[in-house]
Amino acid sequence: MDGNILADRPNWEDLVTSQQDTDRAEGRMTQCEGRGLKRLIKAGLTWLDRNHQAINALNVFPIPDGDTGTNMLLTMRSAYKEIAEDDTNHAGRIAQKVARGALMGARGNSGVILSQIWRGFSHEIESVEAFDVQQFAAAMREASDTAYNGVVKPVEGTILTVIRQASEAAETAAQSTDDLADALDQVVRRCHQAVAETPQLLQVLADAGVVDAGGEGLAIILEGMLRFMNGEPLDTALAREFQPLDLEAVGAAMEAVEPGQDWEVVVDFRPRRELELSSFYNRLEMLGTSIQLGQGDDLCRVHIHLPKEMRYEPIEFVETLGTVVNVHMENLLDQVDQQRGGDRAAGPAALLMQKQEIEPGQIASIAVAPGSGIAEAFVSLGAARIVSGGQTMNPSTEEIVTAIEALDTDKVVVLPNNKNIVMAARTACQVSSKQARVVPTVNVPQGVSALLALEPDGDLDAVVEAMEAAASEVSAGEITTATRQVEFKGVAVQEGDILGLADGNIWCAGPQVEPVVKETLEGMGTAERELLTLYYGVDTTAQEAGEMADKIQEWYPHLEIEVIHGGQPHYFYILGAE
Amino acid sequence: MRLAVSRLGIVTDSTSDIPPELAEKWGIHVVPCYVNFGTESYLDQEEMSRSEFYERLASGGAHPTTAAPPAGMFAEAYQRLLSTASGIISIHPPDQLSALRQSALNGWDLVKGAGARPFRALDAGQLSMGLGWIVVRAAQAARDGADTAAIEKLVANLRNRVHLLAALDTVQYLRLSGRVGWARGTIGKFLRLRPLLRIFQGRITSLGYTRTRASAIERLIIHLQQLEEIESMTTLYTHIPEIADEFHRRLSELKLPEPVLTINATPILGTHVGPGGVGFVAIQRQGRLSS
Repeated sequence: MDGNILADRPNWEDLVTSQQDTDRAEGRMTQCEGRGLKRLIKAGLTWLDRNHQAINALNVFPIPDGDTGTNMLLTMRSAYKEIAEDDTNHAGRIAQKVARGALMGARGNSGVILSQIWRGFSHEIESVEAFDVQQFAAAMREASDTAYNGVVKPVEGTILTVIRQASEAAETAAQSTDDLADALDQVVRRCHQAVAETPQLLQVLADAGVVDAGGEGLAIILEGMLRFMNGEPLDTALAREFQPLDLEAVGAAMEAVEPGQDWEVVVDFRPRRELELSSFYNRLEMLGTSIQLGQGDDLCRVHIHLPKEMRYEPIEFVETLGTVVNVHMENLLDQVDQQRGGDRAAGPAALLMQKQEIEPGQIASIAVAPGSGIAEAFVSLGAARIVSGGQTMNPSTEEIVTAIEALDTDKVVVLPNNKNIVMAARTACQVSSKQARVVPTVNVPQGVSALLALEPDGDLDAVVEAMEAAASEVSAGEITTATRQVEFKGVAVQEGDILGLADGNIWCAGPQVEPVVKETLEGMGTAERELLTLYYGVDTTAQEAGEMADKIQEWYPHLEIEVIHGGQPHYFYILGAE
Repeated sequence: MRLAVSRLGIVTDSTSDIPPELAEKWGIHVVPCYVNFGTESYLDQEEMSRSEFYERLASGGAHPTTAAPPAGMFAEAYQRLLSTASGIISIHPPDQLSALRQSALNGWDLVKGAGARPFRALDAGQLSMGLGWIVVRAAQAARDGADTAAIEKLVANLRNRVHLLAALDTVQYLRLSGRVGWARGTIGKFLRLRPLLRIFQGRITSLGYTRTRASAIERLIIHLQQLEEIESMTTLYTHIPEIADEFHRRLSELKLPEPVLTINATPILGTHVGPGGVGFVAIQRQGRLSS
């Protein structure tokens, strides 16, 4: 993940002064040139920045999830970076650059769809120096169509529905006004309405009691643009509910170490007054990543990863808010080395060096891996490259493209191993100049099975087909902790419960790991299977995993069981039955 | 009185897995290889049975090694054959995998008056019954009076039509053997890893892995079905006949052709692949290009 999410935060002051020389005359704006579009994009990005934590909180499953708000923010940041230094006043050229930046920076499914929206928008106005309401409406239509075309099976009640309704609103507006601000106002209204209606279209949202996060993100971006046009401030966040994590859960999950973010700092403190969460998060995001906040009765715990030279800053910041009670600091890189027997050379970099030799013309594979042990497992099975990422850290399209281009062969198969990464992987394969294909694996056991079926010297299409078939033969289970309370398809989940997912569906929940594992194995149809692989996570010891394997052997005496150190965050166990 | 010198003699080594009765029927001379456990050396088939070998292999202890017969053993065989044969064709596994063909060539150099009769040491590009069937067909051609050029051509043709595919129970033995580069990288995480491999035209290639025996057999079947116009099929296994039975059960469920032979593969191969392997040799019809 990006080291410092808010490193190049747009400056609100800058927007205010530049607004004075916009093309608006007498409160109306009929044409938007390149510089105007750039300011609008900056405003959309700024407003998304202020509100992305609220979007992150819109999780369907009560599990640590790829944060939609963060993913969209990083996608927009990458988009804006392309034009940050560009002074052209050609709207079409600005839009094209933004589309390219969004495409390469796209993370998570919502980020990928957002990049498609920009692609469609820019395509429609590519030769236009300044667009009017008619052209804006046409561009929104193209944006919507491109977004729909980019998805294999479009689902309503998502960001797709919101962009379609937005484009319809733009078309309606274009019939009655020539003022862009007026049109945008109608678009934003319709967006909010569409977002509010997403639970009616998508049962999982209704079950979880949330609106669609990606749709909300799009509405926020457009709303930011409208606020800028109306001269409203962009430096205050909307009042939205946050759902801070449980105190106990904070810091319990060690995530993979992001480059440069190699110190973990956990500070317990007693705030003087209630925390203003959005400014609190914003300040911390300027320092580091993997930020978690827990709140107890009168105690708060903050967890953050950051560079060595900044490791005292969270303490200083927290001292301004209350009394510091306890501080824990840890060098994560050293910790990783210790896990590898203290061998510095065997660090993550060495892992990539160990890759198997690929001859030009052979088929190579790239696997996305959520933990050091799982990365090693993929490498041991012949993966040519590992892109680190998983449930809470979705790699960008660009990271995957870079991995594809770095290989010595032009035939590449990408294994995303997570449903939130499938679309970024597909986009990466389209962008790449190579013959790259995605085998859409949605969990680690599927990825392992698919990789096993790879014939390096085979025909690419036939190999992809065989890998897909192999992936479909394995049944997967995941054991994690619920991040909030929810009633989901008849399963009552309490916050902090152990949660069992069988083939991606919430299957059972309870206070103890063992019964949840047992029930999840039943949901996976383990009785019919021959071999079970148990990948234990970073929070589970080898001994606990061994004891769990013994229990499973008691329940299923015929089963062959293999225990693998996965090192994944958040998940006590990932189970694969075949 | 001398017998009329009319036919070519056919020689191979024990990696060909030709059953003794078949070798006898077609007048094939099989030179045995050596299996060594530590400092003890045994002649394949003659001094150690297959079941004895696999039991020792699985029991741990010193990992066996294999050795080509010395040139002298080939020389002896050639010398003996030359009393009745017009020349000799000696057919062996690929040079990349074994020193057998070199040993055969050296053997011929030791034969007195060797220059007078034609001799060829051919690389069949195959192992086990993949090699075995090529040798048998060469012997049939020799009996019909084919000359060296015709047999050389036949072997070259069969090289493109004979496929050997196998699913091993573990990658461990392949790794220990050191002969297959791609098997070396798999050290590490997974204990249960069953490699699938293909031998074709002298090359061993990876067909990936499976983790269960059931899916290993399914994958073998898929590959078998992809080979068009199969003329005959032979089942191979190492040590555990039940695995071959499982393979045959799937063949009959899918109404696929039955094997003409089922062979417990030679310890010379068993050393490198371990017990519990299963596979097949398929010969495609004349006149078709390999898939």
